[in-house]
Amino acid sequence: MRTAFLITAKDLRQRLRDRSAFLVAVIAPLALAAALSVTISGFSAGSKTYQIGLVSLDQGPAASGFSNAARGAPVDLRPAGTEAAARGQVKSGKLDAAIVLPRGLSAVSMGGPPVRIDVIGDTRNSIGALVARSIADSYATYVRTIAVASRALHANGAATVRIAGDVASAKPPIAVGDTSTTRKNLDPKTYYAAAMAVFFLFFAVQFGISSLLDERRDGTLARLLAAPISRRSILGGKVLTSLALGLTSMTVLAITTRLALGAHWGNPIGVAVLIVCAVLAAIAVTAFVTTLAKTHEQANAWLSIVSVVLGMLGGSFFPVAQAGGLLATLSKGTPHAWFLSGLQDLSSGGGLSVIVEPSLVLLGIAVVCGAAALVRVRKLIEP
Amino acid sequence: MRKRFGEIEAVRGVNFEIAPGESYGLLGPNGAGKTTTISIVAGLLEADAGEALVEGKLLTTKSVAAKSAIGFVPQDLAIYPDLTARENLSFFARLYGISGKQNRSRVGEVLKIIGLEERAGDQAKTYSGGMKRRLNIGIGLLHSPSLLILDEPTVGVDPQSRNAILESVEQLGEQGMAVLYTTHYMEEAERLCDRVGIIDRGELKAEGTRAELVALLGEYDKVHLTGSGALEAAAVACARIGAVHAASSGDGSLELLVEGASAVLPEILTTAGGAGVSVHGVEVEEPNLEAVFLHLTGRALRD
Repeated sequence: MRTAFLITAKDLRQRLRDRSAFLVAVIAPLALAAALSVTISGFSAGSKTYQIGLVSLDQGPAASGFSNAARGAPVDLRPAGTEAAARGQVKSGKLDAAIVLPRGLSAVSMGGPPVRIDVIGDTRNSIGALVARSIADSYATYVRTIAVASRALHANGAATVRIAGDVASAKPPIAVGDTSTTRKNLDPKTYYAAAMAVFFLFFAVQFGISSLLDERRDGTLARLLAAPISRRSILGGKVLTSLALGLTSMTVLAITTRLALGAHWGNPIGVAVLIVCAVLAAIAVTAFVTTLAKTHEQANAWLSIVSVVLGMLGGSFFPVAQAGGLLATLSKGTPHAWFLSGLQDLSSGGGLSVIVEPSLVLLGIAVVCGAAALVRVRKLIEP
Repeated sequence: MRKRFGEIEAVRGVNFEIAPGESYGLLGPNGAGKTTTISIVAGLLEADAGEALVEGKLLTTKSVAAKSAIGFVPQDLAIYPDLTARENLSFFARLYGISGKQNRSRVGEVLKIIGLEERAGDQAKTYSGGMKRRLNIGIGLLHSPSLLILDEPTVGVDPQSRNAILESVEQLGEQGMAVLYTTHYMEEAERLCDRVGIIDRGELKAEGTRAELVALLGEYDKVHLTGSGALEAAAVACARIGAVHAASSGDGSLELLVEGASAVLPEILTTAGGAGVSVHGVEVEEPNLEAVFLHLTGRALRD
């Protein structure tokens, strides 16, 4: 064990001196997490209020009814004057979109002729146009309901105006809530802090096991093998190097992103357990891939491909699991997805029991890949 | 010892012994089996058959005690370029169980031996090729081994550094350390080694002191002929001359082992000319280990 620690200390000194580990394990993930969280925050629902212009050509109560329909949506409805003025403001970017309420809109609910609500959008701001379109659709459905009910009751002799008023003021029998996803999902800062941390973890731990190939290329492996130490202690030293780099990287990133970006990783004990399990899984996966390679260059190429593919499938760049289908299924095969899922469960306020499943899966990946690597690792420790 | 890699039998029954304080050279061309032989002796490879003993202890890839008695200097530079000379030495000394005060003092001694005291705190990547070579050798000396194995330590080294390395090895021999030295340079083997083993195609062809090996040549003289043209054809033609024991062509020259060179020289020149060689010069040399190699294998050492 003493010689394993000697080898680890030597490896860490080398890595610190060439700064590569620091760049890969701390600087790159921190920079990307900051960039991605800032970028994604801009698109995130609830964090942006869309400026929607309203042009009302109708003289009746339709405009106030429309404002009610938009209540609760992330929009700021503001009068935009004429249709031409609204179009100009959308084009210049002052408005995200605009809605034109036509003449005769108020009369529709009382049996008047059909009309058309126009949405003015800009191709450069498709989300703004979609939000406006969705509000207009919702209002159109609402008016259609009143019109149909009025027509039915009018046929039975009731007064059309009173019927319309009653239907409009009636309490909706079904309400739609929006609670589960907002509680379960991590906020963008935390999500990308964790996603980048686990993505770069797979690069950081490579400095351990795969450096056996560097030692062989540089001739120093022959020297280690000629020394009075066991091959097991050489391997142990390399695994300890990966472990030290992985744990340091994840811990530094968890603390730094909390302090610098305001990320909320959740219960520290739960986070620590998930980090340890993720680091073990990453070491085992990279060790196995390294044992498949014959040269240092081959190992680097394969490890990069595997790390990027696992990162993408695991949701390091975007939450692939939400896409459903095959991608969601494949995502479940990656350590990244289980780590992020564990953090999401922790952030939902559950106790430590919620991380039992993701932790066990991560340990399972570590055991399976680690065992496969052990079977093949012998050839790595040959001169 | 025997060692096979797939279809190739790299070492075929090599057997030798080195006494304490003795310098033993393994002389042979590239691919002769030198590196495989010393890889087994250094505990890097397991022999398929046979065994290596160091100070009476059986040496295998797992034998920690026997490995402690060996210092190994690989052919390639085996140092960590990002570490300083002191850090390189200190790390390897610890692997050999030298720690604390003893580590600092031994590292200091070795830095002095290899002449890197002034640059001890600089990263090895900033060193010249010769300095790196010296550090490479210094690591092998750290634990004062009973047997120092040097695998072609002068390959790719400039003449000045080469001379410094050879001087260091001579001093080690004088200090009582047994040295196993592999080379394909005949001059190095002649200068450094008390005894030489001539190895070719995985077999030890002969071994002994320089005088003993040269005596194997009997009355043969070594004729060195420089020229241009069909040298290979000339070597084949000359080998048919009765007094010519062996002939080999190389880079602009012919090497011949000849009985009674002065009498047969005219016939050699005629034959070489007839084969299409334009002869520029002829030299009859003192027999040396290169001639012995030619005598034993029918090939020049450089082939």
